[in-house]
Amino acid sequence: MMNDCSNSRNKAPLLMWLASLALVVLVGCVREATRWEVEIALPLVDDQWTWSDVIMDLTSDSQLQVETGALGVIRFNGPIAEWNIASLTQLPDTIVEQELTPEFTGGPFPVPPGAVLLDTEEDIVFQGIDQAFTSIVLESGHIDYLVESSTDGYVDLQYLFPSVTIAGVPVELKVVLPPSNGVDFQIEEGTLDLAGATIDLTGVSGNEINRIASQLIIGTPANIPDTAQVYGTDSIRVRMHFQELFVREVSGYFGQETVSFDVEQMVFDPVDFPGGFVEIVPSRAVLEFQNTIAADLRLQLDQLAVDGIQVNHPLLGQPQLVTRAAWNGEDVEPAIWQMDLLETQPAIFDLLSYVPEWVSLEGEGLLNPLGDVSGGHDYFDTRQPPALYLDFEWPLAGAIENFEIRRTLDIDGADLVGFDGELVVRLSNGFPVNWELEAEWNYADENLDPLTLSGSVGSFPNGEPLVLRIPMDEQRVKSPAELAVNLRMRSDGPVEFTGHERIRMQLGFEGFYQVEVP
Amino acid sequence: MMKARKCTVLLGLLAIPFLGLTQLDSIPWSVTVWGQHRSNTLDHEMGRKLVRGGFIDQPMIQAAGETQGGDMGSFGYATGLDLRWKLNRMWRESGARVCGSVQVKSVGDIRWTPELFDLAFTGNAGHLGRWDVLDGSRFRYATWVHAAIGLEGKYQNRLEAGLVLQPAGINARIHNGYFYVDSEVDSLLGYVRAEAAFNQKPAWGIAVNAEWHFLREDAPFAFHLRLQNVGVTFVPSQDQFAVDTMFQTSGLTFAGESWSIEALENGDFGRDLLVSIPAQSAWSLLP
Repeated sequence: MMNDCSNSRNKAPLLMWLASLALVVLVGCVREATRWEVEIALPLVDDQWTWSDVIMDLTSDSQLQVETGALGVIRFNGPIAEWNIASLTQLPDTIVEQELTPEFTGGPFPVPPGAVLLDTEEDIVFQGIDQAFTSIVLESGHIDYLVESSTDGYVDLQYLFPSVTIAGVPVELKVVLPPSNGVDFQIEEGTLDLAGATIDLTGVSGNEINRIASQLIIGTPANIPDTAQVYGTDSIRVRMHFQELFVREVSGYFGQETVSFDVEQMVFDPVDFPGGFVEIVPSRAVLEFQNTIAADLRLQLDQLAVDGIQVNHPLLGQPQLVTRAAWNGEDVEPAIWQMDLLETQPAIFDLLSYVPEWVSLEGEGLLNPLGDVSGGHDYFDTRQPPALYLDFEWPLAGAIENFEIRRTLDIDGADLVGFDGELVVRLSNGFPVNWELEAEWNYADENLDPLTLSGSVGSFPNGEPLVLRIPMDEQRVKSPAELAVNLRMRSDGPVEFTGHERIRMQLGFEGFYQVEVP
Repeated sequence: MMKARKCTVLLGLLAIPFLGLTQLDSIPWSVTVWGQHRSNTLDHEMGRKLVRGGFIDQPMIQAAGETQGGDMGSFGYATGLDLRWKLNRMWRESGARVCGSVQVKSVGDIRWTPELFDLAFTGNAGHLGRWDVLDGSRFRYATWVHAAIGLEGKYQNRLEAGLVLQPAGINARIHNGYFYVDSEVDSLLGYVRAEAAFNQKPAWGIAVNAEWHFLREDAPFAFHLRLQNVGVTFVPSQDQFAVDTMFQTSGLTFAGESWSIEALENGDFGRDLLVSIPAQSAWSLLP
């Protein structure tokens, strides 16, 4: 479009043209999404379940290993239960209160700056402790303090704990309270953290037990020019609350305390392992108690049961003296007591083959059965408590009958517009046993019927993979779902495993999908 | 808001020659608006749907595929507005007039292999057990404003130079690539060596437009030479990405740090494959 200066006086056509152009541009800018349909076929998941995946669910301990070979072996060597002695691991909460009141009536009496009204050394005694502790190291704990004053003048309060140190520095509380108005108390409160504190419990004299040496000094600050005016009715109060004192290390004499021993260990969770039979014939199964306390123990195991069925063993009910552990710096050489589980009657592993839920062990231990033979030098580090260990070796051979494994997968929905196809599930079996699969796909969307899948996979090496095709559409893909899978193992008689066996699960998507470009 | 302000500044620069002129009518000017798209494979209807939106049905896709055959396919569009002006007065009796222009342009083009077209528009289900080659596929897009001033001589021969503001620019290219899913749909193999750059901030630059027209009454022919958009821009902040990776998988595991469904849900999937250089400055030529 050309504009000549000689004929452009009339701008109306130009304005109309620009308005039309703007309209065309605006209308032209209105764009809808571009869409088309594609047919996709993609592998999505390729995962394997090995012996470890199955058995690791029994314990989260890394001590469990599957050794592969001509005959696979499952080994476990690790703790199965720790022995907690509450009286050695937590000190009772203790409150200490002090109140300073003048020994006169009337007033006011002036107290100059820098004057000391009280300077006293006292032991803070922990009540309710049956043991004779001489020192502890705290894992955690704190002192909540409250200082109050009704004095008409500045008050300087120092509460010193020379026997409580953190990283070598004594713990102390220093508070300066401003003058009271004569009606209300001046108050200061706070918390002293005692995590990691080393505490000497021999008191001021150095010969006591369960006592913390302390020094309380109350006076007026030296650097304040005002003179305090003290009346006979004035008082200065301090309250120290020792709370939640958890012990890391403790020494002293632990007394003759009897501590019950009640271990209940879940073996097969019925949620994951509903039932069946797995022949378990271990070549070694030793239950071991390791005493890491520097104090003698008399251990007596009274009862061993599998799902309430009691088994007998020559050592059950017999008191066993387990000597004190030897500590050398941070290294400990525990005293050990063992029980061979292959000697139980009836054989405990015959019972375990029937996939029981619980194994329980009951008994008790007596600390220092011979009295204070160490002269007050018992020692306990709570980071290394006495524990029951299992040393277990199971060659993977035997019969399996309808051993059931149940797993539940939560599946998030995916927004695949216009998807219409199939989820292809392929199961390949590397175990020399037959597997039967039953699965139910339950959708969160109540309008969608659950899908039921079933099939079987023959034993390796002749079994054919199981292929299932699950119809999927946009709605089913979008809805969150729960996939409950039941796998049942069955061998035709005793079989041997190498430890290399695995189930391979492949998922793939095949179908139409609508691509949308906004 | 910032982009709009920069455009205003640029248009203000253009208006400088008008200052001192008593009336607009003394300046001859012209406006040209154009838009076009071209493709060697996509027909007009499919091109329109790609640009304006809508559902592309299978017959349309099949027709495009047959047209493309074994050659590279391409689709490009260009649209813009060109406002030109010149003064009536000669500049210092030189026989040339001061002239100028403002151009707003948007250019985009995409090039693809037949296999990439099939993967994108029909899916990979019909390609199981076949190697899909992606070499040379490319996508470019740029939008810019060019404000220029220059001289126009006899026969409307014209030479202008001016500033360029490029608010948006994308350049992506697959140097080598292939894709394979076996016929059992239980393994996938791919290789990609590609790079891409996205302007994070508007680019500034300079550009030259030139026209030379051979127009003689006694000559049996006319010859027109037009040079447009010859210039460079400086991008102060450009995100650059590069990938040079072969991957082969029979599927993802349920759990894991990178190649897993868990990583896919967490957004960590394949993070180690892409080399990313954010916020780099760069020089580039105008398209």
